[in-house]
Amino acid sequence: MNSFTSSSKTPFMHGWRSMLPFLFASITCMIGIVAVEYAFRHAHGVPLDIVPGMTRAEFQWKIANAAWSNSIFVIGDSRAGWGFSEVAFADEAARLGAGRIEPVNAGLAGTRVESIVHYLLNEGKMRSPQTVVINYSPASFFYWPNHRESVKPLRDLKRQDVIDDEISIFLRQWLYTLGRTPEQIFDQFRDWRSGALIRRPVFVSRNRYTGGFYNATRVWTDGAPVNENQEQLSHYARVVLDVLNNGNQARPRMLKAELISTIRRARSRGWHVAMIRLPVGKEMQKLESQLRPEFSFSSMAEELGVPSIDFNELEDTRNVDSLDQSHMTPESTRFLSAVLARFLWENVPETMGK
Amino acid sequence: MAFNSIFFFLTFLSFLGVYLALKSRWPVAARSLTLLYSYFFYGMWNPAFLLLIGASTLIDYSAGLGMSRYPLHKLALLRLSLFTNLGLLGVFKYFNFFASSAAWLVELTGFPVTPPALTVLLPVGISFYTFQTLSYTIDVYRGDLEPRRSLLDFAFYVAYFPQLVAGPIVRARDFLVQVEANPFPSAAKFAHGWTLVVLGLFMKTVIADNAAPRVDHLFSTWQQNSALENWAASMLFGVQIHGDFSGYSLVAIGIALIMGYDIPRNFNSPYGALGFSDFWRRWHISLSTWLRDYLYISLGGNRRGMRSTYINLMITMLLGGLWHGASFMFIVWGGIHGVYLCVERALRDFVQKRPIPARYAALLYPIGIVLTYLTVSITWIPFRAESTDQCIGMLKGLAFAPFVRYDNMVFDFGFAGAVFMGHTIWRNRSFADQLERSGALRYFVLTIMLLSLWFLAGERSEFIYFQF
Repeated sequence: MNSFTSSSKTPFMHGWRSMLPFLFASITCMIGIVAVEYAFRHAHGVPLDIVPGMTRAEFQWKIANAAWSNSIFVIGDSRAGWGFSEVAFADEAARLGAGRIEPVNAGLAGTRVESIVHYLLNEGKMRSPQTVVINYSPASFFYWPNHRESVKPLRDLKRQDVIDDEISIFLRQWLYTLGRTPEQIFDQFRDWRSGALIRRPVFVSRNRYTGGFYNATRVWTDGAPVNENQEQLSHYARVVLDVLNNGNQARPRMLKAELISTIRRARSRGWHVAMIRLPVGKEMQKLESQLRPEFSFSSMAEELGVPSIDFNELEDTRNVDSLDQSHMTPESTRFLSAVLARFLWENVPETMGK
Repeated sequence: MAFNSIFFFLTFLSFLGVYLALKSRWPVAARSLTLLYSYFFYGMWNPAFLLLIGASTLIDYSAGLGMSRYPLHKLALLRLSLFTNLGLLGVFKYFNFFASSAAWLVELTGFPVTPPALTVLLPVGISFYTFQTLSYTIDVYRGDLEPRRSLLDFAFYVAYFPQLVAGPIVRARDFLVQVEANPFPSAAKFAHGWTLVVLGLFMKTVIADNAAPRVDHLFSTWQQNSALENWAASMLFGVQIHGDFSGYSLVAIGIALIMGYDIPRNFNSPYGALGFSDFWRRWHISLSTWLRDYLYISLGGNRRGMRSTYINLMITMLLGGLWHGASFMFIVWGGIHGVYLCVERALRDFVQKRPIPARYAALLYPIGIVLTYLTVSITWIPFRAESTDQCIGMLKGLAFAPFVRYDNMVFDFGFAGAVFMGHTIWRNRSFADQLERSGALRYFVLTIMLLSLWFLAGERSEFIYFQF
């Protein structure tokens, strides 16, 4: 027994002075954190950034708890996460007279398509094969070449982790100028130490729509609004330039081979696979046209021999509104999801319980 | 639920307010509320596993009462308790391991076999609460403890949430008396409890979670590692697992203190140990003392001659290794520690017959601590390795891979070295006790730790010992 074990008769306030160090430490800590925050804000150094879509925990929880019975997983990076409405798809499917299906928005921001397919195959190892609809976007293909880790399974994921995630996101959004996760503060310190405290755009709020999709709001670290079109295009122009400067394209070819091999593995296990290309703006299309044709949507779909639809090619979908030339507005998302339901109904009817 | 989460602290603080309000005037209500919260805490993993805890609680409670009512059938009732608890552990934790091992043995004779596989999740913490409940029935059988009549008190003991999923393994004879005494926490106890919670969270989120990415990297590149990288991998995993597990234990002890209960300490600067028996007096103390009291001594301990002592040591350590998980790697880990203990015992007998002069003994003291640390570090490789190839490759690599510098070497060895130095400096004094005594030190340390939790926490990860 500890030396200060008290009996049930010991008054609580016995030894109250021992609480003072804890109290003073908490106050000092709060003063310290506020002081550091103030100093960084003063130097345009607000590093707050949230995940512009599902977090890893939310994604894995969603996949693990999906019905896995006539499920249609629509995958991709944030373009898919922002661009597929489960509700609009299900409504259209019901209108068409489809059977019992479960559309699942499985778009994960900042993630390679190949790694999501890989993850789904692992999760579905003991379950029956389902349908995966891949949003192939050259932007995503070249932009996230090294992010397989982002769907590295979180071990023993439980509801608490998801609730924690929710609380954390809520706090991050709510305390835009006050609260950060310790990791982000650590990153901020790292940046600061390396002299890289720069004005940069960050995601400050995540919007979750009842249709089962997301988008997010971006601002500069000093709070000024970001011109999404300009920012996205200038950023993607740099990505394209990097790709073009990289002579033999060995790395993209390897990534393409990996993606094709993973998709073939999915098909050999009985999964239905379809490919879509959500529309992008004209300037973005111009940038993409500079890339080698072997990485284009049509080349990829042809090589895989899967049903595919390029929304840039259709009259009624190519000019829908986008937020930044490649992420859809909520209205466009709902509209395109209904179009996708019709496409699957007509071209891959077995996935729609027909 | 896990301690390193906002959700836990939100629910715990709400629970604590009601608990403290009830505790003095309505102790039964406070205990019932705690039991409910404990089941909620555990059920957050998988509510179905509550059935196992419930079954274990009811059987051991009945076995204890039966032993006092029917003394002639004490042994049969003990066997029932052992069979049920170890049976559940065997089915949920070891069935697939034993089935595949048996199939492998049969295949050696030339007959291909497909072993039956059980597709159930391992109930979190089953090894911990099984050992807790067994301590109750064994103590009642031995006459060291009176059986309890209150099912509520007994269920409270089994499911008490701070130590339910990852220990410390609390003995019934130490804890049930506290439950019955219903101690109210004093302000001193309350403050010290929170200090331990912060200290534990610091160990987990700042030390263990920052070591984890380096450990993962060094173990994933094992085929290309230099000798120094293999050493760094083993030492850093030692840092990670100690920070992780002792952090959990400290939070558990702290929360229990806040609620008025004392749970024994589980770690005491283990990397400052001088020798392996000293190491096991400092590492996972509640498990090593459990194994000593209920297994090693039951096997005969050191009472039946030298040979029998060595055999008993080996059996205890092999089973201790197996307790950690259904894998040959854990058995190898336990086996190496068993061999260490046997060699140490043989050396001790040898030295006792030929005493070393005092001036040499003083020199051997620090050498012994360093050697113990390095040899213990080596055993972390089988503990952490994911395959036999990896284990053998890394163990070989400690000596035979090229000794060359690598990126991050200063960080790796600096981190591991700092933890080792800390353990060595605090080997004879408890840091937590020092904190309890000095208000200024407590203020200073708490401030540093709270700021570190905010600024320096690593990426959140699950506690390693939850898998056991």
